[in-house]
Amino acid sequence: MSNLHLLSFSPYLILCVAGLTVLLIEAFVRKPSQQISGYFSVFAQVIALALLWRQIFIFKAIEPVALFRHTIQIDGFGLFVNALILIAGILASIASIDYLRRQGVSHGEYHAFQLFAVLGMMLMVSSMELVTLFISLELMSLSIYIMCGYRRDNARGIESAIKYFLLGGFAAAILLFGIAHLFGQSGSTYLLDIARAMRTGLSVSGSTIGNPALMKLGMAMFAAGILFKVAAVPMHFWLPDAYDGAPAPVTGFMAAAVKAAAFAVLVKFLYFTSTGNPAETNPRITGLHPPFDQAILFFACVTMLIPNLIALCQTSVKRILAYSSIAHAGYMLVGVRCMANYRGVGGDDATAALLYYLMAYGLMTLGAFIIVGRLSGPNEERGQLDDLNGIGYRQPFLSLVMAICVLSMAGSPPLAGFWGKYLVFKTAVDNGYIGFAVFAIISSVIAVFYYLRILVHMYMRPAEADFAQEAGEEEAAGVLRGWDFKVSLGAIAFALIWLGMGPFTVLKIVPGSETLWNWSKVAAEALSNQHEFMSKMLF
Amino acid sequence: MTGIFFDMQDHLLSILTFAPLIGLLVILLMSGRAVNGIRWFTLVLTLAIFLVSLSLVSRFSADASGFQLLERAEWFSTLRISYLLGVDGLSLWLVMLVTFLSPIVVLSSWRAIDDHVKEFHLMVLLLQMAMTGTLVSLDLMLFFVFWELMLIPMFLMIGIWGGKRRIYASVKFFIYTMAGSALMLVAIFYIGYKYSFDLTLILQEYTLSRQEQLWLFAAFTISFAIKVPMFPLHTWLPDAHVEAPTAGSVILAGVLLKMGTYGFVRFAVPLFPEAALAAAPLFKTLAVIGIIYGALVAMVQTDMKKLVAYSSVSHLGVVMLGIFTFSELGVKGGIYQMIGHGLSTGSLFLLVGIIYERRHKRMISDFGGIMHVMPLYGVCFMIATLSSVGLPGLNGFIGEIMVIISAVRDHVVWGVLAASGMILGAVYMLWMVQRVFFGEIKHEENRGLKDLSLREALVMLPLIIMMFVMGVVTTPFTSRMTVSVNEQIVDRIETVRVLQAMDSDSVVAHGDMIESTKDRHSEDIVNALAASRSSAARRFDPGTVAGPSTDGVPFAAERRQRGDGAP
Repeated sequence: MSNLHLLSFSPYLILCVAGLTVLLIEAFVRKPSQQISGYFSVFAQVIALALLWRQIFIFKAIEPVALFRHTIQIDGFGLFVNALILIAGILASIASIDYLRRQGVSHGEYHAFQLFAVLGMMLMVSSMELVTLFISLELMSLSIYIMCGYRRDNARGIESAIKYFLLGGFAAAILLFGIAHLFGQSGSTYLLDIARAMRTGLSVSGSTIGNPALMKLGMAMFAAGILFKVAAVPMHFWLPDAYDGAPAPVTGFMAAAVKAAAFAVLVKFLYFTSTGNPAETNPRITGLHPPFDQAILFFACVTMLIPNLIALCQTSVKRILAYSSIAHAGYMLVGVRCMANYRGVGGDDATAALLYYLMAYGLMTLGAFIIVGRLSGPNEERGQLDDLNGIGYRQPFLSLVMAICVLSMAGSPPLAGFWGKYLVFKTAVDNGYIGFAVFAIISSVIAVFYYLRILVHMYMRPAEADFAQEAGEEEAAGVLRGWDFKVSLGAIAFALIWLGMGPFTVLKIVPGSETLWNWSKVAAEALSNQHEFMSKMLF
Repeated sequence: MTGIFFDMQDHLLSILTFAPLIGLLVILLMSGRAVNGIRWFTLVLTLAIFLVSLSLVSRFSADASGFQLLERAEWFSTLRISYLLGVDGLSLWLVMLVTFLSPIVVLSSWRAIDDHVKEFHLMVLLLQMAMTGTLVSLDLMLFFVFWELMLIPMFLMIGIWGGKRRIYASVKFFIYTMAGSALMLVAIFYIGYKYSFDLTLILQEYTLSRQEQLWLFAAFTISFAIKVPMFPLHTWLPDAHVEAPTAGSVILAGVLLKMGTYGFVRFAVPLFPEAALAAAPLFKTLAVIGIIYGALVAMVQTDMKKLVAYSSVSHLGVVMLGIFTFSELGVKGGIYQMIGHGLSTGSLFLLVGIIYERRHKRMISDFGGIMHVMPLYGVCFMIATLSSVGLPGLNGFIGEIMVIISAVRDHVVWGVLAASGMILGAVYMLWMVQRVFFGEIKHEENRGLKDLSLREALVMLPLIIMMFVMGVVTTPFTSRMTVSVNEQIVDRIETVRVLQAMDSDSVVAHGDMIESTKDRHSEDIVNALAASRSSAARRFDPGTVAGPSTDGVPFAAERRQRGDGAP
């Protein structure tokens, strides 16, 4: 392993070591100072992000780095998604330090699990081999299951964890079965080999594939397993319960990071298993296999519409946000559908739009869940819409950030969510799916209603007096200690505004809307370059 | 972007747009308890912006064609979205209306708003920024961003400081308008993908096919027609107006509704002239229905605020009728009426708000004979009413008469119907004034009503002055519209008419259609048209196009070549 390889792998190593260290800290440090593990975890993730950042600038120019016999490949695409996951991880860690303290839950191994979850996601996004991918996915999933049920004395938390675990285990089994089929037909678990087998009809040993239908079945099962994590509509039933019962920062983390990782894997998998069109001169132009393109179209449409309709009649803020996060997955599936298209401007723009959306969505949904966790009191018992009444004047800062997050989700310009939706829907129009885009926009207009309800309750309905006093005392107790929490929320709000209208990059770190778009494009091109490289190899 | 603050003169429009934003940030840092500090700061800031905006009028050249004071900067260049600002005769006076009304709104809510004062002033400034931005942006995406941004502060303003049914009204307002603009967004995607987001570029370079025009026009007009609001889509307006606080009503009636009609003159008609021409009978019909229906509904209202709200439906019907006559006089009349309506209806809402502050009632039957106790108030109300019903010498008359004349020229039926709407307008407004102000005092508790305070008089004074000014001195206003109205609307529509005449000519071999274009030099228009359509390469060379039509034909392509080059 050369120095370069070690450097590229260092963020993963740091997270792994930090996770183990947190476990040791928990074992040896006495109770009152337990927050130290939380801050240590934040620190480790910041270091990992800084190391990633270095690579982002390096990897713009050079070839992707393959590690561990090509099971892991570090490229622009992976770096972008990993950075997103780490940002979500940092923000969620800061929020959960605050949350655990306020809820009186012992920190224990929580931060270790979060670090492992982040590590799992990052490996999953970078893996080029299905067994590695599956192991990292399970590392992520198991950590998240535990985090969901971290409040052991809370029935809803337990319900959430069990439900997620059972259904998630089922989905993992299907995914694994899909991998088995792919391996059985192609003779390899490497994505590149499978892609080659898809195209040439030859397995790794050189013989023809015995049963191409099983190959397609394997693809379908793999995609179904990932779509479960994405929570596309027929596979979404676990999500509202899991999101509702989990501690709020965990919910935010799941919504932001797990979804990003799952989408990245979906995109990558579809890219590699898509049909190259040999008749085209440009090998980068790709397309999904015929049943899959229609399937994704179908998933996108139902995932956009149905949760928006369900959310209209929810009364719990967390459930509203949970359904909204399903709907956002639907909008992102529009990008997935357009990514794999022969016509139009090619897939890069669509993939980039998807990445942009993931970034915007991750920030706004994380911010919203964190704030809900903070506002809904002990054991999150005051999480109904009515409990938000008048909170806009009791907690002006939190409400302002919440309003920005919610408006951004509603796609109101000039916030990041607007540009996310804009870019995704625009690729649909560019590719000639005008009806699809109109459908998506109508669904998003339906969603506006329940986003507005949150604002209405926060700012327009008067609070009941006793709640106001109660919350006032509570807030008075925690004012001084929450500065890191407030800074992180302020950063989310600033990023949402700046990604929506910022014309330039602040301090070379916080990108403006255009810069982020350019970064997304670099990341998307990294993916399609691999594809091109592969196609050249094949044809 | 970084250069914006270096040269005031080159960035006048940016300053007008973003000065409220800076004020907003300052207020955000102020303590919510410093109520008067916030009020004074906002007042001074909006006044300062108004003073700065006066230089917009002085720097605006009435004779120059195309957009003036253009500002162009990179914004989202990979997607070809730019930061492009400019004004012309269509938007100039609306920008002035925004800057003029803002200090009035702040001053008028000095006493009316006493809870959440900080938030209220944030909303006022945000709204001002969004409105100015909508009026001056020439990039379709930038326009859309500001257009949507207008919704949020208005939604909050109605919902937080409104009346009893405020939440219903505000949500209805938001959903209605957002649903409308969603389709416009798809249309903007399409234009941006196929052509450009740059309005000046699209107008110069591209001609959209008839099919495209019809679809895109439909998508744009649904959004604009909801905002205006045109007849079948008007139901959000009475709710929003009645529930909104006075300041909200003033901004809503004064400026926000004009965004719809402005959208028609700025985007829907110039971009899609063929579709606009085809849809004109429909729009004229709806406009006339709006005029008469609005007036009839206003007549039976018992709530003063609702009455004024329905009168807006009627007045904006006049504006729409003027625009869709596609004649210079009609469009100018429409724009004049937009400004006039902003002043007169704005004042009426302010006045209703003033009496509501005193009595917390605004049913017509709650008053009667209050001229005896509030003479100054009564006089102001009378002037605003007369301006609203179109008394000669006040601003309402000019706009209405221009529209009616052009409507009569178009077809006598439109003229008669529009004029009858005016008569109905006089009936319901004057009847209301008679019931509220004259006769004996009906309710004893009204005896103690105080007349206008100094602050309230100061609020009303500039509005009343402007009503007289605009009623007597019309040339400074109309002369600055002429070039733009011709260039953006009249000539484009004429071109389409001539083209259609040519098409039908070749089929029917019949000359009547060309004659129907009246006093225009149709031959020359056709020549110039042929020249402008010849080749894309030649369009970049002014000399070749100016050749065939040098004798002062008011034709868009030629005028563009003369005046409006690269900024």
